[in-house]
Amino acid sequence: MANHPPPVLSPAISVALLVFPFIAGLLILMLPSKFAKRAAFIATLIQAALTGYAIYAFNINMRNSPLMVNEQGIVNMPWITQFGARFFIGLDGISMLMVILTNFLLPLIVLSTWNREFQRSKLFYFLVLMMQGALVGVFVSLDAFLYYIFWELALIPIYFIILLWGGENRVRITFKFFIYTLSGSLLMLAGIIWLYLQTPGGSFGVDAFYALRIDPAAQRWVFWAFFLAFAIKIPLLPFHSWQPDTYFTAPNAGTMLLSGIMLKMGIYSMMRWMIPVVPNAVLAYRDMVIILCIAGIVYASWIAMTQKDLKRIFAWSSIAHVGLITAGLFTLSESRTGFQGALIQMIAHGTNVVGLFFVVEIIQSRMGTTELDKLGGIRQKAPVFASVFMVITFASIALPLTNSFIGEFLLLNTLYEYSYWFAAIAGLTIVAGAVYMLRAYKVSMLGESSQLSIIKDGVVGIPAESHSAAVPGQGRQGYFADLSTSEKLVFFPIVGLIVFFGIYPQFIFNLTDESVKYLLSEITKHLVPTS
Amino acid sequence: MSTLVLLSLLGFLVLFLGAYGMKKILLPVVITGLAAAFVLNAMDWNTTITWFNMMLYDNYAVSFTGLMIVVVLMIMLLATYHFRNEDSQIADIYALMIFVLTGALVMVSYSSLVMLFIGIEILSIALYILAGSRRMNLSSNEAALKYFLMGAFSSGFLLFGIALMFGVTNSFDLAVISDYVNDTDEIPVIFHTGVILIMIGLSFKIGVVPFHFWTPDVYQGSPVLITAFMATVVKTAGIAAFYRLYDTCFSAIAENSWYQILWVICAATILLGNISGVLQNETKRMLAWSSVAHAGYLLLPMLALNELSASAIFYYSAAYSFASVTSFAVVMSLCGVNNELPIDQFKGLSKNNPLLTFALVISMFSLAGIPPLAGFFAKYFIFVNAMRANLNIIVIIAIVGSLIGIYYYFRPVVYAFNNDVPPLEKIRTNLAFNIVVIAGIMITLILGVFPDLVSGLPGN
Repeated sequence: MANHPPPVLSPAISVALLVFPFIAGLLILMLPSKFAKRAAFIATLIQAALTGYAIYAFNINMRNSPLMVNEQGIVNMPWITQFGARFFIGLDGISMLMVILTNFLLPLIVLSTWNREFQRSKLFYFLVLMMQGALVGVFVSLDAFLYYIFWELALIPIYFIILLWGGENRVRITFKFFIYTLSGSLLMLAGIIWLYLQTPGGSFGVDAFYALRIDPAAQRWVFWAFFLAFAIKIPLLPFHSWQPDTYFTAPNAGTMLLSGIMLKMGIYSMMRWMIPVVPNAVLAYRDMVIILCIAGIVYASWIAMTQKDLKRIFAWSSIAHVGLITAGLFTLSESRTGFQGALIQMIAHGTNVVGLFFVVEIIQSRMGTTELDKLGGIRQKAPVFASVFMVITFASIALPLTNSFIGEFLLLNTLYEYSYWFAAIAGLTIVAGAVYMLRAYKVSMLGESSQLSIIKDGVVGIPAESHSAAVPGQGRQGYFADLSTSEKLVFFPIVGLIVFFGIYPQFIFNLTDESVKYLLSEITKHLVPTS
Repeated sequence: MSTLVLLSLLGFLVLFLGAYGMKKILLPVVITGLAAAFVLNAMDWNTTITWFNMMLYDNYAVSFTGLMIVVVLMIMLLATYHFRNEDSQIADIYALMIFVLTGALVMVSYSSLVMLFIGIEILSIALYILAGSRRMNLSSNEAALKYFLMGAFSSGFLLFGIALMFGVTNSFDLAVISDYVNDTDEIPVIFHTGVILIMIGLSFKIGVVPFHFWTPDVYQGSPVLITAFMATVVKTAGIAAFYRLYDTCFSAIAENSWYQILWVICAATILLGNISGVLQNETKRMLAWSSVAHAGYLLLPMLALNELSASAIFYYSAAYSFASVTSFAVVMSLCGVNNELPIDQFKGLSKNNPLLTFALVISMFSLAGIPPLAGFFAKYFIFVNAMRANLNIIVIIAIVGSLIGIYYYFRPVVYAFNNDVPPLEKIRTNLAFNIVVIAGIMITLILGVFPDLVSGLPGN
């Protein structure tokens, strides 16, 4: 056989991945409302298939990319010539991983709304798809300006999703959320403009930013501009106050988007746009960031243990988990365990948290409440549901053979190498996580049946009216049906992913290792000697 | 140049058509006339015609004229909706609007201070009448009177400044004044006084702090359509005239004469405009303060004074004008007979009329500067331009101002999606109105995604 050049992801695919959700979203707006849900599901499936093809075409071993090691599918066109912004996209291993996370979770998120009838459903699914497009855009952009546009664009659909379909106090809460994240973003914009003005010839390209050698004192300013934006989005400890309320108020599909994918934007952006660009400042503030993260872990775990509502427990647990991811990432360990652990844990957390909030959705739609006091004994009525919930619970407390185990192990390992004490305190997250997750499971699933969950004799299947009962107090009483087919179709892939990545995390290593190596080498290469 | 002649004739033609009661052909004539003016104007691109040392019709003038013609056309189409119940005076209104446009055209293409003054007067006198065009309405009369008094004041300042300038340089010609500034080492104090007085006069026109006091009352009192006119065409013309004069003539003495004053004006305008916007409960008042704040942003490129300033001002004016026309269209459709619109009256809009809701969202988001809409790029353009000139502190002030602004731009949007009100009477709009609203939305989106289309326009 002749030597075929190994396949490389073509630019057409990367453009299609970026553009398809927007087009699909606009098409849904034109369809009659009753098809919106199905059309959205089909669109996300097509997008997932496209991603599948991209994985197949993606060449991990490509070395001759003009950009970062195996950056491919590159499109680089002038866009706004006036100030050098370009339409510049491409995927390396890390981007690919994030795109996979987004596009594989989206069908599940859409499917999780299958039994729910939204008012103005066209608009809802349009916003969800717009969100998907914006998220993919964040992950594939290689031009800082383009990246910023998508970063902001992702905020608008989720704002409206919560504002229009959220729970109590949504106006006030969404507003806080919006102002909070936007103020961070505007600071980042100022940072981006400053960097742009430093580049010779004026460029927003990631390559131009990486080539900068910035004075260490100036790096600190840029660091803060970026770090605040990311710390608010993730969120890290002193900037987290928008998060619990927003997660709680958002419709569950919105919470899944927020926690499953959107917060990963912050961590991804740290890897791509902050750490290699201002390495001196990152090293200078490394201890501070890790301490913030660890304080966040302890604090959030503590609060989670005292919460009385299932959804709030999961919201706080999310803060604890991302704190650990960021802490591990910031060790910048040369053995790559920090980066790799963060990447694996991002995927694991994304999968698990979607599962957890779907558990919330199911309990909420069946019983009209997620307050722990009112739950109990569900396992007797819905054994399949209880088993699935157990698997997800185990995954989020990082039991071996689940996806989180390997991630948390690597993260704690790298923290241990960095500092014994940090690892010891951060390790509490596993213990505390076990406490609050198992408590949540025990109180809601085991024990005496609460009044709300007593099954009525002879009632099988789920009557339609019980699904729309998202309003607390209006749930249909005395009834808890086990999983329906569409619900199983959400849960089983999640369980599959939990086990698959628990046993074979090598997939993520293989995909991202070269990119991680490259980013770490950029950091050492770019350290400006302090004068 | 032919554009100016055409527009003047068009104004008289419309007056005559109105006088002879030919209302049916009024609108077609106006639209054809403006379209012809737009084409004639576009044909002047890259020709740079001078006219008796009075007018200099360069690319800067062509770009701004083109923008203003499009905006006026949109407002004219809205007029068919706005005056649907009181058609008696519509010919006069059209004619006056065309005269305002003529004045605005002179304001962006003058090369002599006399022409600047004449342009401002042509524009202002027609506007005073327009502000009072609801003759039976008390607040409309009040607005007209206030606007007239303030306008007369500002003309006085301007004229005084021009006189001082003439006294020093012995010329009204911009080129001569510019040469004088560049060649003279010791510029007399009286010249600097003239610079400041002209600045005060123009500041009144574009309504920046501390010369903004008329804005909220006049915006609120005037008919919505005229308010839209003031917020867009007048502001664009004013800032274009302002920049043209200070860039051509006074850039060399910026540092030791007017720069610090303008810096303070700019910062104060951005902050006060946005903070006061937060406190408003009436939509037109809120938009008035928003227009004050936007005037502040438009001063930033004047401070930067570099080769991209003209483009930045042009792009910002365009983004701001189209978003404003769209938002005023929405306000117009909701405004009751008493010409007032408390912000909570947006409640239930999303159920009532999706097109208007979409227009509201797009225009408010664009004014707030949220990507990927035109308003965001406009702000961005201005910030980059200012940071190039090392104006970092004022950029931070402007960013804080934008953050405050988001609060009040979001309030109508949030109310619009609040549906716990009894269903209102269906809002009826006409075809011309819908065309304008859709065009406004499309332009705001397209300018946002492809800013390159116009961002380079005024050239150098």
